Order: sequence, then structure tokens, then C-alpha cells
Amino acid sequence: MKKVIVIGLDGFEPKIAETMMSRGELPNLMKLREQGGYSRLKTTASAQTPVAWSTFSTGTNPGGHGIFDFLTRDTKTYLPLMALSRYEQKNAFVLPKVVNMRRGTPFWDLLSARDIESTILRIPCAYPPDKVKGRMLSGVGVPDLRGGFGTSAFYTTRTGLHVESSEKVVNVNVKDGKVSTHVIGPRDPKTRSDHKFDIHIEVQKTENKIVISSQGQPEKLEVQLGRWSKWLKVKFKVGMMQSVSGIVRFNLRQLEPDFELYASPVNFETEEPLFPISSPQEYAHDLAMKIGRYYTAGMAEDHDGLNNERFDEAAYLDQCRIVLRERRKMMEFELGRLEKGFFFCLFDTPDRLAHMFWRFTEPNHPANKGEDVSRYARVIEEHYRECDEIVGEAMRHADADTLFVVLSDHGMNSFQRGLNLNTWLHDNGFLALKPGFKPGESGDFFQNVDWDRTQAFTLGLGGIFLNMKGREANGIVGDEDAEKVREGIVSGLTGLVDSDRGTVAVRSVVRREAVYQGPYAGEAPDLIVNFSEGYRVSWDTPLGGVPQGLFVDNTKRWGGDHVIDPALASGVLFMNKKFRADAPGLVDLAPTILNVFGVAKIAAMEGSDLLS
Amino acid sequence: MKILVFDLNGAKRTKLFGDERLENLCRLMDMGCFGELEGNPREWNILARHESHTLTLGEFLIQAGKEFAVFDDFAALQAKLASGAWDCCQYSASFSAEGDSTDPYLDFDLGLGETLHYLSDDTALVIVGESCFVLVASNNPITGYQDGSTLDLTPTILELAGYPLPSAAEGKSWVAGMELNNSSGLTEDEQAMLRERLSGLGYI
Amino acid sequence: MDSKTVIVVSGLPRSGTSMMMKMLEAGGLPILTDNLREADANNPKGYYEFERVKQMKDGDLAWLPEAVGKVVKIVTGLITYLPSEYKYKVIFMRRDLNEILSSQKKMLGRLGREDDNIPDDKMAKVYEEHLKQVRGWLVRQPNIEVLYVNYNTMIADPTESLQKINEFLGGGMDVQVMAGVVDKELYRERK
Repeated sequence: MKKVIVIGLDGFEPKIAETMMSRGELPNLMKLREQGGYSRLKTTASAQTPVAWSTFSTGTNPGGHGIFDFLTRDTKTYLPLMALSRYEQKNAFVLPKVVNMRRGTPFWDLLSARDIESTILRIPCAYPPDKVKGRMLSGVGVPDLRGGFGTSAFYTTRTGLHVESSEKVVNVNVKDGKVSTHVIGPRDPKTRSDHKFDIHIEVQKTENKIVISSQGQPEKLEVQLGRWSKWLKVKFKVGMMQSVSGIVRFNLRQLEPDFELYASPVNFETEEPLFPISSPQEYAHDLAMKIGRYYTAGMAEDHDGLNNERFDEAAYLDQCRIVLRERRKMMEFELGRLEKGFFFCLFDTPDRLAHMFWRFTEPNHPANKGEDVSRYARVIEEHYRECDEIVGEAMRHADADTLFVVLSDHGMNSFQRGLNLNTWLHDNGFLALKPGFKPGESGDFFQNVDWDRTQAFTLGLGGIFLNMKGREANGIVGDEDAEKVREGIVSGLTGLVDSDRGTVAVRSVVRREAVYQGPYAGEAPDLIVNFSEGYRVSWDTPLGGVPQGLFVDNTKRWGGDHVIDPALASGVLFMNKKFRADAPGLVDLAPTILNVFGVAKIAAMEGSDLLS
Repeated sequence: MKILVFDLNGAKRTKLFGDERLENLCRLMDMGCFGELEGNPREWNILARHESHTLTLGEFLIQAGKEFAVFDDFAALQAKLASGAWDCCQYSASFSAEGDSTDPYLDFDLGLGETLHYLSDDTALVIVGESCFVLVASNNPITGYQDGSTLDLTPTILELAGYPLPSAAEGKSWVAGMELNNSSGLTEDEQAMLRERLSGLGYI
Repeated sequence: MDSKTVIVVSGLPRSGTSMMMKMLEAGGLPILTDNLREADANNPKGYYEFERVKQMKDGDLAWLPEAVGKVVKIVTGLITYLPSEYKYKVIFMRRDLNEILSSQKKMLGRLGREDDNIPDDKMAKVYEEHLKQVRGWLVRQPNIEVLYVNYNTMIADPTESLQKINEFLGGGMDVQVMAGVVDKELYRERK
């Protein structure tokens, strides 16, 4: 065979797909199932996008690539750190460099070494991108211009608005139908203030629109009420001779009684991104010249805008469609010129959309708060149909000499209840607060945690770290006591019942050596908590909060999740060739694809060729 | 603090400051302060004048028990910096008026860029051209344009690097009486920044 | 002088820019002015302004060919809009900030406008920062040469300052005639 085409559908849930196929829907996926086969696909511990796709890339368990969660901890400060990449700066006089924390050997390195070309679009955990023969566009992990996963801005004449997470609220005045304000750019580390790009807004009430004038491109940008604007290219002067460009979209929410305008996080512009987002470096821009500007941030969908209720479901759906359309254009352009080699394109939207619309499929979901859910109850299925169409489009580029694969990294499930995992550790004597403090009196970042009396803590999405002597800054657990602490947590937490509901919230707690092997296993959390369906760590947990009470309702619009027991969070695998359907896993894809091209897998790759 | 001086004899302000292609120099200008100096450009390193003799920056440092090493090529300078065993180094070069086929300013910027990799944060770095300068030090409270007398530069460098100035010093340190920037732990502001960085995942 | 050089007189309002214009005119240099703003009690010898420079920030640069070889007054707030295709020799007027502030107040008073009530020390800070920005910009322009002229020094001893100016502009001006312009009357605000 000379071509391998892999279409990634992030978070595509097998139970939904199977139900739809049983009704005769998703015709292209059904065709694939008939031609080759279909199976659920074993995901990683934990079932998170960066962890799972890194296993797809490298063919190893997370111990072999070093990505265990979106977050990890700084052993010196106990603060949460981005686990996917790091900025390293040799000293204050040189520019920082971004370093990918996904290690191991991705299979496209082996293809490149054999002169086989790859086209890889939006692969997670490749920021900065891997140097491939061919081209690569980085996906999840690429930040916005402020360095985070996405900080939006909300312009309003309303005062006293509560500022939610990952947003800036800008109070504006409308004077004679005009608003003068600015787009918020990167922060100046020296002055600690934000760089700004001036915009002037003309309100045209009778036509339900605004016109944004600026020195950006275009100079005048129209924004219709309730609609997403086109991209505005903005430029921030970050030094006397240095500037950075970005692109931003607006959504006009309301003109009266209050003026409300949403601005997306400012994405890297492709011509001169702050840090490389493609390999070769000019590829991202070449692609933009062909298909137009596109979202470059790893988290392209503005789920926080919806979560913070800055816009509604309809606007979010519109935005998801824009992202999907852009991605589809990329795919079609590249498939159109693909003659041989490896092709991959990831569609993130099935995941981001299902996170936000899951609650509508469960009338009893606490986030619904009595809302009529029927209007959006079918959105996920409709989106799955669109994904099926994209699969159909891609399949037209697969001939008899092509291995064609559709897969997801994990599934999707309900998230109705959150467990305050640090609070459980506190209540059971593993985590101590400073004298005089009770749970609920401690903020994020382990504020008021007494490290000298703390044996274990959690941050991120379900990993528990022991406070180990010689490893953590104020470690107190010696090697000789570690197993006793772990045993205490495992036995106490396994089978934990949510007494309000009478259901088991925690199915199991596993020791890291049971799931991780390899050179980076030592960086993993010491224990991994496997939640039941409907449960997850609470919103306060990932950044090190110790709130009051054990279980809380999830009342956020982000009502679906998949960071549960990986056994319950499998993804899907469709191939156009017959394959071994005996519990295939993400680890098996690398050996399978390598074998198609006659390239031997390396020893670190744990899986096996599914076609043999 | 360590001191690294680039003494660029005859280097023109219009070239050093005005050429966007000199990326490393531009970045350093944005990081620290820069400007023009009034007075005899070759006297910038004079700290004090006594009847019989003139005290220069180098002599002062040697008297203070420090090593003061002068280089005229980047490779040797970088080798010294890489060893880590140095207090004060000076790189000296002459820029002829006109007519060179290769652009010596671009070459300098390239060499400068490579050299920066060998530094540690606790370095006061100064580039001196003809009647102009760039000064970068982590504790330097002055940013952007700064002008003054040629004789003020050396006292400023010494004060930033933590040396007590001799009473006979002719010039005046620009940062005299100013609070120097010293880094501290994680402030609330930085916590907010960290939170912003990690939010937007949808999981927080 | 280079055929594409424009001579610019700049500085904060009330730093002596009009007087410098007058002196350069007396020294024999052609002036670019439209005399839209007539002489008044604040500037008895006229303002020497060229109205179109104010439109530089909106992109109107069509007048620049006309300015080559001539002197034009451009306040500090506008000077950074000068396009890089031309060469400039800038005479930048400096004056004690307190004097500038008190002179500006008097001028507002004569114009019958109300004092904006911004404290002097605050205003001085704003001006200092502005000057720092402008001078930081000027020093980075390879096509711009700047001569800083101190108003107070020039009033005290015109000849020395004027010789420097003459040298800066390539010589050939009548320094004696120029010195005659330094009308000590103008310095009536010194206290």
C-alpha cells in the first residue's frame, strides 16, 4: 500500500456511534465497518486528549512519552504546571524556547528517516512541531497570544460584572454611537500591564450591526448582531522595534439596552507566529494563503465563552461550525494533493461540542436547572452526522492501495457530580491545612496547605501525588512509608459512595506502576483515581483547591466529560481493511501504520500490527 | 553581579540603533535602557581623574580584586564566559568609518547573539558605541531612553553590579537613590497569570 | 546638504520652537509655513506653523516633497509620523519643564480658556514620559540627525548655540543676524 489516511475524531463516543449505526445512520462509517471493520478502541490512563494522542503518536503507554495529564506539579512549589510543553530560557538575555514535553519517538520520525512523507494536521502535543519529512501543523498545546489556552474579552456597558475564568471584562461607554476601546494582547512582563491594540466601534443600531475601525486588517470590519465576524488581524507593539501579530474574531451579543461584544482569544497569526506552530515553519502560512486564515490556537472552540455565559448555545454552535469548516478545508486541500505517504487530520469539534451539549441529553443533569433541554437534545447526533460526511469526503481519496482509518482518542460520558478529591484526602488525614483553617477556607494553589504534615495531594484530573521526601520541596513521606500511604488511599477511596445519590463514585484507584512503564513513568502521579460514569474531579480540584464538602453538583454548561475509568471511556476504530478486533488499543496504531510502509517498529512500541 | 562590556570604538548610533536587522541589539534595547552620551566618547570608562593618573573601569575592578579580561574576538570571549569563572569581561572592536564590503554591524549582532547564550542572569551588560550605549541588567530600574554624560555610564554600571563607588568618581550614577528591581516570590498578580495560563482548558 | 533632507524644528509647545523658526528664517533658510495661525500676544512674531503636518497621522504626506530643503515646525506629538524615506535634521528645543508649564498656563489664560486643573507635578511627569518616548524613537531612526538646543542656554548666550546650529545645518548662515532675533523681550516669563 502506498497511502495511509487517518481521520481523528476527538472524543467520538462509541455508544452514540453504535446506536446511530444500528438505526442505519452514519452511512460512511457503516460502509467502512463493512469493508474492513469496527471496534471500540482502548484508550489511555488517563482518558485525556493529550495523553491519548501522544500514545497514538509514539505507540507507547504514557510512561514512554511522559504526558500523563494536561497538568503536572512543580515539585519545588507544589504549583500546577502545564504538562504539555515548557518555555525554557537559558538566561534573561536570550529568547525563550518552547520545548515539547511529549517525548518518545513518534512513528512519523521513523517514516521520515525512510524518506516517507507525512502530512499531519492539528496533532496534539506537538508544540513546537516535530521536524517531519512533509508537513505538520500543531494542535492542542498551542496557546493563544497571551500564552494560555484561551483568554477572551467581553466588552460591555454593564458595570460590576463578575469576571469569570479565562476572560477579561472591558467596561466601555457608548458616546454618540461610538465606542473607543482596545483588543487585549500579551502582557508585558516588565510593566505587568497588557499590550493593547486600539479599535473604534461605530454602532449602527438601525442596521443591527457595528463597524470596527482600526489599523488592523481589514481597516473596517463589520459585525452583525448575533453573528461571528471575519478575522481581524491586529498588531501589538511589544517593544520599540518589536511587534507581534494576532487574529481575533468578534461576536456582537447585544446593542441595547446594554452594549455587549465578545472577542475571541487572540490566536497566533500564521505569518510570524510568536513560536513555531508548523514544520516547516512557513507551512502554516502557506496553508493560510490557500484556504484563508484559520484558528491556530490548540483550543479553537470558545467553550469558555459559553461556560461563562458570554454567549449562548446557538453562538457556540456557529463557532464550532466555523472551526469545522476551516478544518475540513485544510483536509480537502491536503488530500487533494496527496499521492502517497501518511496523512492525518484531527477534528477536535466532536469533543468540544459534546462537552457542552451533553447535558441536553440528560433531563436530570444538574446544569439544566429546569431549562427546556429538547431544543438541543439532538445536537451531538447531528454533529456526528456531519463528521460522517467528512469521513465520506476523505474516503473519496482512498483507493485500493490506501489504508483508511477513522478513530477517536477516547469517548464521552456524563459529568453530573464532582468529587473534591483534596478534601477527601484532608478528611482522611492525608492532607493537612495550617492550624486554624478548614476546607473551604483554602483557595486554589494549595493555599494554607501545611506541607510539613501533608502526605498526599492532587491536582489535574485525578492523579494523586505523594509528598515524597527528596522529591517534593517539603516532602515528608519516606520511601519506607510510601506504600503504607498508598495502600491507605487505595483502600479508603476505592468504592467511595456518593451518599446523596447512593452510587459508587470511585471504581478503583491504581498504583502508577500498574499502568505506566518506561523511561518517564517516574514523572507520573503516584496513584490514579478511576471514576464511575457521571463523576469526575470537581471544578475546584485541578488547581489545588480544598473546598468544603465531598461531592458537588456540576452546574456548569460543560456537562459531559470523559476523564473517568479508561475502561468506560474507549474510543472508536474504523478501518477499510480487515483487522484483528481483539481489544485493539491506541498503542496498536503506530505499528500498524509503520508496517503498511514496510518500516519496522522500534522496541519502545508496545502494540502490534492490527492487520496481521 | 558580573559585568560584560562591548566597547565598540567608532560604532555609529545611526547604525547600532537604527537597523532593525540587528535583532539581538534591538531586543536588548527593549529589555534595558539606551541613549546618547554627551562628552568625549572615548572617556566613557573613566571613573575618576587624579593628578597623576586616571582610574578606569578596568583598573577599579582589578583594585577590587576582580579579574578584568579583555578580548578582541568572540570565540575567545565565549570560551571564557562558558568556563563560568569570570567577573568582568570586555570585548573591544573598532568600527571603521565606511567602505567595508561585509556589514560589520550585522557581524557584531550575530556574535553578540551567540555570546548571550553563555551568560547568566546576574550579569550587567553594556554596549558602548560612539556617544551612545545600551545597558541591560535585571535590577536596572530604568527602561527606554536615557541620556546623560559619558562619565555617568561607568558609575551606573558599577552601582547596578553592586560595587561601592569611590568618592572621587567624576560622573553620577543614573540609578543613584532609585530602588533597584529585585525579584521576589510568586505575587498575587503572578498567581492570576498562572491561573489564566492554565484555564481555558475547560477543565478548570 | 543632501537633496532629500528636510529641516525640522521640534519640541514641546512653549519650548521656543517659534523663536527658532524665526531665527532660521533670519539666517536665510526657506520656511514651510501657511501662516494660518497669525501672530498674537503669545507669539508676537507668529507661529510659523504648517497646518498640514497635523494630518500626517491620517496618512497625508503629500506635502513632504515641498518641504525638502526647507524648515518645518513639527511638535513632538507628531514627529514620530515622519516617513523613513526622507532624511531629516531635527533641531529639538529643550526648556525647563516648570517654565514650559507656567508659560502654557499663561497662554491658556490669554486665550481665555480655563485651566485644566491638572497639578504641575503630574503634568511634568506626563511630559517627561512623552519626551522619553519621542527621544527614544528619534535615536533609533537612522535617517534622522538630532541637535538638542537648550532654550535657556540660548537666551543666555545665543552665539555659542547658534554656532552649533550653523555647523549642524552645514554652515553658511549669518549667525549675527540670527542672534539679533533672540528677543530678550520674549523671555518675559522668566521669574
